[in-house]
Amino acid sequence: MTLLRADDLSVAFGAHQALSEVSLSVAAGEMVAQIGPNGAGKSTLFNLLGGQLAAQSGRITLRGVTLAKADPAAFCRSGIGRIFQITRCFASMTVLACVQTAMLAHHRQIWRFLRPAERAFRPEALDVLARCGLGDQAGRDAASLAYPDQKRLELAVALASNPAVLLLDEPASGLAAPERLAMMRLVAELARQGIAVLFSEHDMQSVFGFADRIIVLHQGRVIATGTPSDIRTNPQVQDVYLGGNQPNE
Amino acid sequence: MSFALQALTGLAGASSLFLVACGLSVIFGVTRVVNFAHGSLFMLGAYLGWSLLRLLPHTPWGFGLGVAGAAIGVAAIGAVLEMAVLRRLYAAPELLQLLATFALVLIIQDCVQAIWGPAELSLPRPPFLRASITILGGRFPRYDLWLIMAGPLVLGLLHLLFARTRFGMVVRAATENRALVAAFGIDQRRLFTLVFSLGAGLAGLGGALSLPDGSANIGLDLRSITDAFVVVVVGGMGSIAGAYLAAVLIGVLQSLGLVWLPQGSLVLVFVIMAAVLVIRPQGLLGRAGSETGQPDRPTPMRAASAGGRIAFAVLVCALALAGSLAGPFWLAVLTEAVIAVLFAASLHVMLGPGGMISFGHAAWFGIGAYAAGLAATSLAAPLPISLLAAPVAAGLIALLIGQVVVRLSGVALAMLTLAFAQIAWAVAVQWTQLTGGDDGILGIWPGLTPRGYFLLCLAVCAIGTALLRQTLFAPFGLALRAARDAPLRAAASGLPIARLRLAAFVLSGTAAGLSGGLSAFAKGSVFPASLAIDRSVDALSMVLLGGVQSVSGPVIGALAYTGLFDTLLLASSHWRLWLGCALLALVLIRPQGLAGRGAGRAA
Amino acid sequence: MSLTRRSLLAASAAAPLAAPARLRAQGATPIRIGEINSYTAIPAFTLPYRRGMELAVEQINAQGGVLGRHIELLVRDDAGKPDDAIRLATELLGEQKVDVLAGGFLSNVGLALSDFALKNKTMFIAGEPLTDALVWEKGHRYGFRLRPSTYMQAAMLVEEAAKLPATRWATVAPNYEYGTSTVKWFKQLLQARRPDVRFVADQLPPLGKIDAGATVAAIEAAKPQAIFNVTFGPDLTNFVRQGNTRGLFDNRDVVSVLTGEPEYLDPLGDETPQGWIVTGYPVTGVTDPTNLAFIAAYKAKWGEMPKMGSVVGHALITSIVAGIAKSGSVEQEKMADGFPGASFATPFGRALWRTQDHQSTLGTYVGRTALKDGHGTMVEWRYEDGASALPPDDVVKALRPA
Ligand SMILES: Nc1ncnc2c1ncn2[C@@H]1O[C@H](COP(=O)(O)OP(=O)(O)OP(=O)(O)O)[C@@H](O)[C@H]1O
Ligand SMILES: [Mg+2]
Repeated sequence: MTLLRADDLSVAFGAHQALSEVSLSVAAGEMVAQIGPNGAGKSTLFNLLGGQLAAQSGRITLRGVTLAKADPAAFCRSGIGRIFQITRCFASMTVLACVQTAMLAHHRQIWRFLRPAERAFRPEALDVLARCGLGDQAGRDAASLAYPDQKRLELAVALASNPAVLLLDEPASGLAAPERLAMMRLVAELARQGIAVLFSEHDMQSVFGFADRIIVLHQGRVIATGTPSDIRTNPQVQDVYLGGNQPNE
Repeated sequence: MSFALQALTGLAGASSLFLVACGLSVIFGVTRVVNFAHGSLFMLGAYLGWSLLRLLPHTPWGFGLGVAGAAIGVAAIGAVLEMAVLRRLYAAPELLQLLATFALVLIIQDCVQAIWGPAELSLPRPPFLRASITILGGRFPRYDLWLIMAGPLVLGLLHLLFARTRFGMVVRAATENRALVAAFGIDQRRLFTLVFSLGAGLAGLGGALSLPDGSANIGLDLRSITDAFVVVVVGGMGSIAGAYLAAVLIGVLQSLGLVWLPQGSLVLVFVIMAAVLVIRPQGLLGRAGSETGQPDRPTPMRAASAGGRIAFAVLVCALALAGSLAGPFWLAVLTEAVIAVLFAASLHVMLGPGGMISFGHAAWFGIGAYAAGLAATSLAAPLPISLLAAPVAAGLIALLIGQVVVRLSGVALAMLTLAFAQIAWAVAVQWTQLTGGDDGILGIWPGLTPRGYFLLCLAVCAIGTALLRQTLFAPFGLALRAARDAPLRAAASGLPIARLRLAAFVLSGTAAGLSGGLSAFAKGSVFPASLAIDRSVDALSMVLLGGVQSVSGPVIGALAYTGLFDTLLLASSHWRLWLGCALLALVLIRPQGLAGRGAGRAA
Repeated sequence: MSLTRRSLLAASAAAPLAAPARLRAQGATPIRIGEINSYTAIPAFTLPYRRGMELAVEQINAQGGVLGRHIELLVRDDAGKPDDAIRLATELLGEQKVDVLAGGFLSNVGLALSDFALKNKTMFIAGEPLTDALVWEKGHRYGFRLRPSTYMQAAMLVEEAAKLPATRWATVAPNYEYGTSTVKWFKQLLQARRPDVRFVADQLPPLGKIDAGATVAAIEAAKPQAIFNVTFGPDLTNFVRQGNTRGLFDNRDVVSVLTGEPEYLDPLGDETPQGWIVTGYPVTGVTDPTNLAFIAAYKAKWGEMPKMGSVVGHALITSIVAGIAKSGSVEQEKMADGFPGASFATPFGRALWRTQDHQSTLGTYVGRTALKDGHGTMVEWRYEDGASALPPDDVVKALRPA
């Protein structure tokens, strides 16, 4: 079942056309990868789908319902969760509190002013942390986590909103090979549980090892889309991407 | 014709404004230091200029030489200040530099008075500075024509410096990306010293050039600093051409405004600034996002431990005990101190967890004070009702003003709060029928003994402060901090950033209003001074002194600041000097604040 | 010195009760006067003022003090803020046990202190604050004020202004209470005498932040025949310089409050405009023995010429001492009864505390500005006694509810 659909999305930054008529769809339980060289427009696409940025034309629908106004909080409430290419966590909180905060937001309980939030959704938050492999880090200051754990924490925060769709902008970037694999396995496990996953990644092993489908962006256009084997053999992709300059990392 | 002459006069004013402001813009662009002492450097320029020009021959050459000498002198002073003070603070939380430069303001004020005396010093004008020409049907000072040209000239020279020289290229690179400069192996310390000294020299130049139209006097620092900030912010932080454009806009509008609406002289500048910021938060030529993002790098904040709670309870008991033993004066000081605690705690909500700097927090304090005072006098309301009126009035107005304020961030937000506070201040001064104008509202006494009232204040402030603390660890507090720590992440998790910030703004204003109401009854009076910039600076100093990221910071900061202030005020006629030195010492020794965690000085 | 002594003797002669007390208590504790002023905020006025006070205290103590006790002066800085002034008043009263409160420069500080005094039933003698409210709307049993008020200054000048041919007037005043209320009185009094007069422009630059060029141009554009100025200090210097260069004062009469005071006249230097009608203090011109004695004593102690502030400070102390001498006690109620009617010596001559409204009759000089050897001075001046510049008693009564 298709959960997230984008039709003919275009956006420009000044004179620079960052995305032109990009369409895609992600179904529940599916893992879709978008690849493309640096500056291809992957993060921009995530920003459109996450509500961080307004498209100049085109349409985004979730379960057939159009998300008209770019509003990240509204997108989140309708079931789209995401992580950012540059990891962001709530630096003044503990790991546990980061997840609790997202859960409070999800359950619309942030307008409570007096009762301490310490116990709010504690078991649930600990559970999410455990799923992301951070069970033993719950009490630490979020800012003091090692980089791989920060990536995991951001994933945990995104999961705290119980999303139907996950947008993962380079979830495994900057990780060493074993950690990258662990992260991708974790993501695959989430997809297996029925979440629709759209991720971007420069590491081709992760892409071809985990993606069900791949969308190739180049200079803001979709130049190819299909299964990993389709893409591997697509001459145009080889030309502009795999053939020419090898993707870095 | 008279319109044109008025506009031309405005251009001369614009040049003066630009000369004050461009140095500030240069300094901010590169070092990101919000240099409160810029007005003091301008004042030093005027005094140094006066001393030099008295000795030099009264010819155009002598004048030029003296002005250049003053500029160089102030540049040297700037370099010394940078090396002695600011350099140690680049690694410290951003706002601390504000406190340090505020300390410099106090110190320089006292030093200037000690060296040059309190009297106003005017420079006899030789004929060439006195001459006028007839244009547009009126007489126009020739010196002002030179001034009109001096603005674009300085702008052009700065442009050449930044566009054509290696130094300028490095400075521009530093403005864009500080890490880049370090990566290229450029000595950042020397660069910052040079830039600060250049900015200081420009301030000195402006000060010396202001002499023929006026005099060197002790008020010049504060007179020029708000102007400089307004121009820089309206122009776009760090944009020198923007500063010139802003100066022209403000200078000309101000000059014309004097004809159309002379009563508006107190607020015109601030109304212009507010209008520009609401329409274009980054300023006329500023780039979006070029203003500083957050007041501070967030650091972990922990709920008060059991020990912390006991310490707070002990403190409250100790204050109650002190209050029952103190004589009338120390009782008044204690009352003021506990009110200051609530006031500081209210600002802390905005500044710390809310991530919004306020240069105009006095507005809420003053609105609360006036609301309580008016309720008690005009409506003859009983004490509880009058005290309730204070937070309600402040909260409602904060709700209104907050709608526009929370959309901004960084220094622009801070300046918008300042603009609003100044407008509120002008209303208090000029709406005489309601507020009593400068004479204020008198005879607001609580109908309790001073000791009884102190205990009431202690109870209200302790509970109020404790409740504010509590909110920071309640769901709302977590959400608010999330919105500050990582706004993108927070929004992607479904947090309504703008509404959270608005709520923090209103909460902060409400609590400040309550403290203002309490203070009206403590002093028996309300004056426009309760809305003035000094009061906002007091609040900032208290919070910064205590430590922005610490829960107990505002409590300790407020007690320390009021204690320090009152002791020094009584002990010495040079209290400004000593207060400045004390603040400076604290900032350098404990950059994380008195209550902040972790020891050690900033790198 | 000897002349001062004479004036002092005269002061205590008004109170025969004082004599036995002096004999009794030579070693008694001193009488404490607690003085609060804006020392750091307005140093140009308050420094000479403080020196004037200290001179007076020294002179009085050299004469044996009053009621057989010495005078002790405790000075506090309110930094220009009324609420700080009130806190310091609490300190002076509660901790230092002062007998009399005095001081103030800004009107609002004066009013705040006056309100505090009423609440604490303590004597408060305002020296410099000029607001009329201090002795009229908000006057009370314990409050007194030394200097000629805004009303009195305006009234003194209106007498001269009414003689001028001008019918089109412009005003310029700092945008706060003192400025607006002086303009208000001036307009009211002038129009009462000269119904043909019209006011064509009112400039209200912010205090200490005048945009002088624009202000001058705006006044010029209104084409007035005469100008009434209330600005002072750095604002005045800027205004005069722009006005001179732009010819604003050419062929125009200017009437100006306080401009003849050395504090404000000196910085104008050789740019002092000529022929302005001003109130002030012709310190280099006075020739009467009282003034000369004061000037000599002041110069001997401080090595500089006195300013207006010096006179106010000095007269403040002597006026308080005379009041105490007449009361024969430093009990608050006795002083509140005793001060009204007490007569005292000032550098400008004798004055007294009026019983009607507790305003002193200390006057000021009215004259014209002139240039002499590159310095501004006052010429054609005369001393205007305060009593003659006040409204009739029934008017005062209506103005003063207390
Ligand atoms: N806010 C913006 N303003 C202007 N240009 C932008 C903005 N954001 C992105 N761009 C430009 O749009 C293009 C696409 O950027 P985007 O970040 O989407 O690329 P990407 O595919 O995510 O690259 P990378 O692999 O490096 O993350 C780039 O040329 C970038 O410079
Ligand atoms: Mg990207």
